[in-house]
Formats: sequence, structure tokens, C-alpha cells
Amino acid sequence: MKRKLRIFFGFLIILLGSKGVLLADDFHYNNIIVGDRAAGLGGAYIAVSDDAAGMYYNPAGVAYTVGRNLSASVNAYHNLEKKFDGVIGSYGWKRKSSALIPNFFGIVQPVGDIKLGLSYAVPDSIKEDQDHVFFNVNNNVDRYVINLNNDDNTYNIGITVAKEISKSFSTGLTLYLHRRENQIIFNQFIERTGPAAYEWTGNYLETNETGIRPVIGLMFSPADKFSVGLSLSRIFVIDSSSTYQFTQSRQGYSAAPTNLPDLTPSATFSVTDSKRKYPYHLGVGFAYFPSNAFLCAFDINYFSRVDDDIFGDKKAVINLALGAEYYITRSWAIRAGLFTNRSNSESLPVTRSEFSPIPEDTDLYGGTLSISRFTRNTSVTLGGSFSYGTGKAQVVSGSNSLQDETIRSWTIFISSSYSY
Amino acid sequence: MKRQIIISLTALLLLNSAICHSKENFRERISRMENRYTSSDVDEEVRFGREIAARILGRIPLYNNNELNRYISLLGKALAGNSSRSDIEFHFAVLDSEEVNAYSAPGGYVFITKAALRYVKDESELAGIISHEIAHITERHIVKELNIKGMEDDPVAGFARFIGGGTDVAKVAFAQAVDKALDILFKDGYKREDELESDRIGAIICASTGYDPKGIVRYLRRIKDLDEKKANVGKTHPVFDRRISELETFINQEVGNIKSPLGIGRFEKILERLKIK
Amino acid sequence: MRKMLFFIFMFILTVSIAYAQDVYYVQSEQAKVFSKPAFDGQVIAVINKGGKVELIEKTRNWGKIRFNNQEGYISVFLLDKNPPLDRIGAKKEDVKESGRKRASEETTAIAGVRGLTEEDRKRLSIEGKVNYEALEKIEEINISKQEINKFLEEGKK
Repeated sequence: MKRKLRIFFGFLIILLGSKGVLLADDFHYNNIIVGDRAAGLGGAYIAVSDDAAGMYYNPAGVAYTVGRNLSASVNAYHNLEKKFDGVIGSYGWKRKSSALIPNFFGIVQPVGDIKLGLSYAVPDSIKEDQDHVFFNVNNNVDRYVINLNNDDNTYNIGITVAKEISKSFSTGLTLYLHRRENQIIFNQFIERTGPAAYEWTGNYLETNETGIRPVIGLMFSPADKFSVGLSLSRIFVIDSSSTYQFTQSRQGYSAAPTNLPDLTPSATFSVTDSKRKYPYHLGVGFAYFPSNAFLCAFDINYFSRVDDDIFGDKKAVINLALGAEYYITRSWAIRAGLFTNRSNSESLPVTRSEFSPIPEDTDLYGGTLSISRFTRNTSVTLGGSFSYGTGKAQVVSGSNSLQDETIRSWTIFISSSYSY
Repeated sequence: MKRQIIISLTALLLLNSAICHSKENFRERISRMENRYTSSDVDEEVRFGREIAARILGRIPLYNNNELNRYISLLGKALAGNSSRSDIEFHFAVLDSEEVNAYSAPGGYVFITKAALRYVKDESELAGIISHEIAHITERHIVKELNIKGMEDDPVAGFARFIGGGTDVAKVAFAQAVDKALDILFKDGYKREDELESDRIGAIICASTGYDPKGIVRYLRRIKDLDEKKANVGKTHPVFDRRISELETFINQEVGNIKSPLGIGRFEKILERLKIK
Repeated sequence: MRKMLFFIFMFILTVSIAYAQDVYYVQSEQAKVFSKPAFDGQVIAVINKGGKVELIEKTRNWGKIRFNNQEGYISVFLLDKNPPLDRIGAKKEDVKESGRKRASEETTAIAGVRGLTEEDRKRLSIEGKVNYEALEKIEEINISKQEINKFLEEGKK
């Protein structure tokens, strides 16, 4: 399983590593902020949570939704760019992902004295399609071709039950079905024209996992206009299958200085049904509603440590979010937020397995902004978020050298909510 | 320093909760408070209420006495002017029925039966009955129960429906709602708390106009006796005892007495002249 | 110092918002303001429809209000946080007066949304389940403000 894929070049670091080409971001827990109002508030929503998106953040808040029925949907265009410096000779390597995703959909309906809801959330989504050609990388590489296709999507769909125990205390439960589908095709072709030499490596990695993600929520109001929310969740993977295929062929690099023996075309396979381990997520939120035109909210999200030999260990992480909402008039509101999306990576360098992504340790910091237009029963929101961070990554396979990494991520979203 | 911040924030919170002695839901955003009822809602309410009124008149004929209907309308409009609904036109009429009862339909339609008039002894009592019916309309008891709403014509709303996949509000099965409203009026009655609320608000409307708020209490007592004698009294109003006692308490606590109530002696003369008896 | 300023700012903000919140609008044609919370109190003012008042405290019926630098008592049932709507005209006039376009709109509305067509109405009329004639008769009873005032004046005798 832990086959060492020794591939290339002693003195010139070139190869990006066949192992772990995942981009989707296992090293950060807060890549796409779910919801419309929540997304404007930087995700600081655990103590607000009183609309459809509450089912995702803190189901207890759903007990305080107003209106008979409520539906919301969010569509987002998500863009992620990771830049690694000095990876291929003096070239940097840039990976970009963009996808139009149905970020959230939810409906809430009162049934007796409880609220029932159904929601769908996409907390992370990556879609990469790349073809790169680098020329004259060094004396041994005249042409370096990279093809990469990476799809990694996480879906949560589930039901919510929430109950108002009293005017100042409520509780709720969301049970999501967790589904993650990841497929990576990563091919590299390296060529030298004189004397003629080449190396080909092809990688195919697929992981499909199914699990459940219960979210337990509590909401209470210790003082008028002030609320505290608490939510606990974890993804439990019930079924998982991962396949890794590797094909390789090499010719003409056996002489010094590369000293790599010729390889006849060969293929290796590995399969695992190991289940990815996810952290416990404990969120505590505080919200203050000084008037019916203004609120501010603050969340602390704690993710526990994960020990996972196959998909990589993760350290415990705390992410913070701060948001404010202000109604300029009765029909226009603006929201702004700040958030952190810190890396859960162990200190680099680490030992890599073929199922773990390219190790990186880059903390992201970001902001959000949105504007909403209300009519009596509806709202339409346009917003966006941006986050940025610099850190280190361990891009090259079989090497402990680290590269500088810069991550930029932005999302724009349009959403609507409707109550009737 | 940190402690100072914490102390000041806590103080701010406490102070704020002391100042904003609001019993209302602090989560409610102003976007949702805007025109809780729009003119399109009222439009729909009137349209709906008209349909109900026509059904009522289909079941029970109008009492064809122009002078009496005019008198009831004068009294009714005087009372309605002191109600919280200045956005609708109220209409009043007498129904030709031997059942002691009164009805109202959303949008401002109020009816009282000829039989009920026979047990009315003075104008304050009549004002009490009519005010009670007006209150069902001002408090939108049927409108709320059946969720009668107008369409939002704002383009943003249309857009939100389009991308949000929300169901069209106004696709209320109108005919179904009409049937439900008639069930409330003729079979099931209003919810008890709605009935009690109408009693209270009716008493206030009476007192605001200048009528004795206790007129309705006198009338209810008389009807209660009748009911015990198995007379033809509408069954859609809740138990008299509770209504009477709660209303008396409310009047004593919140409404008080009227020094010189209106209409003393007028009603009797009118009845005499119109020969309802 | 900066924290102090922040505190003061927040305080002013919350206080001003807290007070701004308690503005109410008179919903009735007119509302009497009494010197004490009782209808036999002295009427110190009459506020017309749409008038703004500030609600200081309330019981089940009585609201202590401030308006034009005066204080008084008013029935809270006549107040609302939203301004009152204009009077909605009777629908029958629309149909009568505004000719074909309006009539066709009405039909569409009825057929598409209301679930009750003109035909339905006719059928119901024939079956005797509805009576629009009687309804229109009632709606035609026209009573002016002067007549109402006269009626109330006469009632005092």
C-alpha cells in the first residue's frame, strides 16, 4: 500500500509527485460558506440561525423561523487558486478550480409546535481541468506536459427537526446524509529531444464515501436581544471505497546525472475501503440584536484532532467568524463578515500516502460582503467572499523540500429566500 | 484592560435590555415588518369577503326594509369609524331570518338577523353586537385562519420565486377557502380566543363611539336565557357564561363606564315604526 | 479612551434605536386621546388617521403615548407599527366603469388564480347559492360623513 513511488531527478526537483494530487481542500474546514444570510456574515451564524440555512449551522435556531413556510436557495460561483513557487525548475505551478454550485437549498415548515425542514448543502466543491506545457525546464527536460482533471464534491442532504422549548430556549437536530465523490486523473509526460528520453506517469484516484452527519443544536437567550448558540456535529463515514491506479514508463534517462533505469510500461493498482476520519466540530456562537435593523454575531468553531493513517492526520483547529448585518431601509440590508479558514495540517514535512493530498500548511483569512433586497415575502441577495493566505506546501513527491504557497479563493453568490 | 472591555460590554448588554423593554421577538427584522398587510392583501381580502357575503345572502335573504338597513348602516359606519380598519369600506344589512345571529365576512360585510333585533332593547346593545362583528373583521380572524393574501407584484418577488422555486402564494384554491370560511360562519364557529378578542375589541369600539360597552353583556345575558329555553339561537358562538364573565372583567378593568351613552330611546322608536315585531 | 468612545457610541446607537422603534401610527379615521386611561376621561386631543405617536407603556387596552410634546392615553387597538393603508375602493365599480380591458383582466385573474370563473358564479347564482344582487343593493347604501355625525349628534338627545 505504501509503495514508495521513486520517480525522478536527483539534483533538479521537477516532478510534482504522483502521490496525492488532491486539491480539495482537506486541510481547511471552511472553504465554502453555506447559506445566504450566513455567507454575508462570514459564516457567523450559529447564534442567529433563524432561517432555512439554520438547518446547516444550528438546527435549534430553526425553531425561531418566522412565516408559515420558508424556502431558500443559494447558487454560488466558487473559485480557488493555489500557487506553488519554484516547483518545476524556476517555474511556479498554479492550480485553479472553479465551479458553479448549488450551494444551499432548504425549506422549513411548521408542523404542530415543531418545525420540520429539508435541506441540501454543498460545503465543498472543486472542479479542476488543466493542461500545462512547460518548455526547457532544464538540461534534461525540454518539454513537460501536465494534464489534470479533478472533481471533488461534498453533498449534504437531510432533514431537520426543531422545537422551541420556551421563548428563550430551543433545540434542534439535523441529520444529513453525507456523500463525497472525488475523482482525479493526473498525467505527466516529460521529454528530452537530444539525446532522446521520456517519462510518462499516469494517476487515477477515485474515492466515494457515504456517511451521516448529525448536527445537534441548542439555542438560548440569556438576556433580551442576546442569544447564544451551540452546535455539535461530525461526519461518520459508513461506507467508503478508494481506488488508485498508477501507470508508468521511462526510457533514456539511465545515464548520469539522472541515473534512472528504463522502465517498460507497467501498471499498479491499490484499493482500500478505509474510511476517512473527520473531526468533531463544536461551534459556539454569540449574537446580539440591538434593534430590528442591526445585529452582530461571533462564532468560534473548534475542530478536533484526527488520526488517520490513510488519508492523513489532522491537527485540531479553531476558526473564528465575525459578522454584522444592517438594514439601511426596510427593503435593503447589507452584511459584512470576517472569517478564518486555518490549516489543519501537521507541521511540514510529513510522510505522504497515495490517498493524501499535497501537504500544505497555509492559513487563510477572508472577508464577506453581501447586499439583500427584500419584498414582503422574499429576499434576493448578491454577495461574495474572498480569502487569502500564504504558507508552505510539500509538493514534490518523495522529497522533504517545501515550497512557498499562496492561496486565493473567492466566491460570488446569488440567493433568494421566500416565505409564505 | 481586558476586564474593562468585558465589564463595559456586559454593562452595555444589561443596560440595553433594560432600555429596550421589548416583549417582542428580538429576532424579527424590519424587512419582515414592512406593511404586514399590503394594499394587494386588502384587495384580496375584499374580493374574498365579497364572495362570502354573496354566499351568506344566497343562504339567508336580505331583509328588504330600506329604512332599517339604512339605520343599521348609519350605526355600523359610526362604529367602524372608531375601529382600526380605515382601509376598507364597511357594509351593514339586516337578514330575513328567524335565527338569532349575526355574521361578518372579511373585507367589511356585517349582517344581523331580524330575529336578533327583536331581542335588542337599546342602541348600545345593538352597537355591541355590530361592534363584535366589526372586530372579527378588524382583527382579520378569517383572513388569518385561511391565510388570505394578495400577490406580490414587486419584480424582485417574481425573481425570487423564479430562482427560489417557491410556490405561488396566491394559488390558494379560492373556492376551497370560501367553503372553509362558510364552515366557520355557519358550522364550526370562530376559535374561542378569536371570539373573546372580538368581545373585548367590540366593547372598546362601542365605548370609543360613545355607546355603553356593557350593552353587549346585557344582550348576551338575555340570549343565554333564551338559549336555555331552547329558542332558535345560533350555535356558532362559544359558551355564554365564560364570554360574559371575561367581558365584564375586561370592561371593568380597561374600559370603564360611559357617562351618557348614545342612542337612549332612539332604537325603540325605530323598531316601533318599522314594525319588526 | 478609545474603548470609552466605542462604548458611548454603542450606547447612543442602542438608545436611539430603542426609542425609534416605539413609533406607532393611528389606524382609525380618528382616535381620541384621553387624559387618563378611561373612556370617561377628558378628551385632550383627536389624532387623525396616519398620525404618529410614541408609545411609552401599555396595558391590555390603554397605551400611554407622547405626541406633539403632550402625553395622553389612547386605545392600543387603534395603533400599529406600520402606517395605515389608503382605503380600498369597492370592486364592483371597477368592473362596471372600466370597460373591456379591465373585464378581461378580471376574467384571467379569476380563471388563472382564483379558481372561480364567471360561469361558476352564474351557476351558483342560478342554484341560489349566491346573491350578488342583494349584495350590490347593500353596497349601494351611501352614507356620508355628515350623516354619520348627524346620527351621532341626534343620539345624544
